[in-house]
Amino acid sequence: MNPTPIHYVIVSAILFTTGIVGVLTRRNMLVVLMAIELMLNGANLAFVAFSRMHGQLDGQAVAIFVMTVAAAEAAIGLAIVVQIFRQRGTVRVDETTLLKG
Amino acid sequence: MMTALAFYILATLCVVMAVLTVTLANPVTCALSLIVCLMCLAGLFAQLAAGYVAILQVLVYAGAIMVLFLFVVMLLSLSEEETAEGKSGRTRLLKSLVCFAFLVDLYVFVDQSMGAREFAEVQQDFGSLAGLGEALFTRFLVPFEVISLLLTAAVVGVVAITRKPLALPQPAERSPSSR
Repeated sequence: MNPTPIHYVIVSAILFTTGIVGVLTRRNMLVVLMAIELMLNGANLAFVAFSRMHGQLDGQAVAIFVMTVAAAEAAIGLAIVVQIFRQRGTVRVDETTLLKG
Repeated sequence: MMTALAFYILATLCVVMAVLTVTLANPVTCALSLIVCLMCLAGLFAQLAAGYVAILQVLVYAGAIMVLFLFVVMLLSLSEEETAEGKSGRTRLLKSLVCFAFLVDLYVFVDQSMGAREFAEVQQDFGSLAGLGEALFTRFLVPFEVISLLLTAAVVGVVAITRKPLALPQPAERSPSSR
């Protein structure tokens, strides 16, 4: 059975959900950032699949933008993680609750 | 036939590696399985006639971003205790179940809205660098420029965040005249 658009979109949905599970359940900030990358990639796959489905390039252009935003997000997020580790000696999400109120 | 086989292999490997990424304990193995997952995604992009996006995926994602991740993981050199996930198994199972319900929801929605859609017929050079470049520099010119601004802001922000705090004089050491 040849893959149709829905196959790719389902893979993208699975990737996105896996990313959400990672963000919700992991306590290591680095792994949480990786899970966010996973979510962005799931969205990217959906964009490219829809682009191919409609025969228009817009989806691929947006996918490139998403990639750029992901690079910026990873850089900023990792910088924050490094700085938190320097100041508090931990990268655990449940131990950095200063802003929780 | 070959396309279908390649799709199923790539998709399965991709999903398995994604699940490993969020379940394995060691951040280094997490990062490595995420790299494999991103490589498989690049293969899927290539199947979808998005050759340039696939190349960018390998270069930017699997190359630059994941090297950055691995670099930070090595730099922090976390202890065993630091990477341990604790035991709260029940809440984690509950969260995973909620996410699974969300996935089923997504599937039902997608299946109803585009169940039998087929791929459009496209020309041979669909997704080539020339066509994509033209789209980026005409219809998407404004977002393109905004993205460049965002990248600049990110670079400046990273430098500002990771810089060591300035050694401000302690209040006791200040001379009265400076207040």
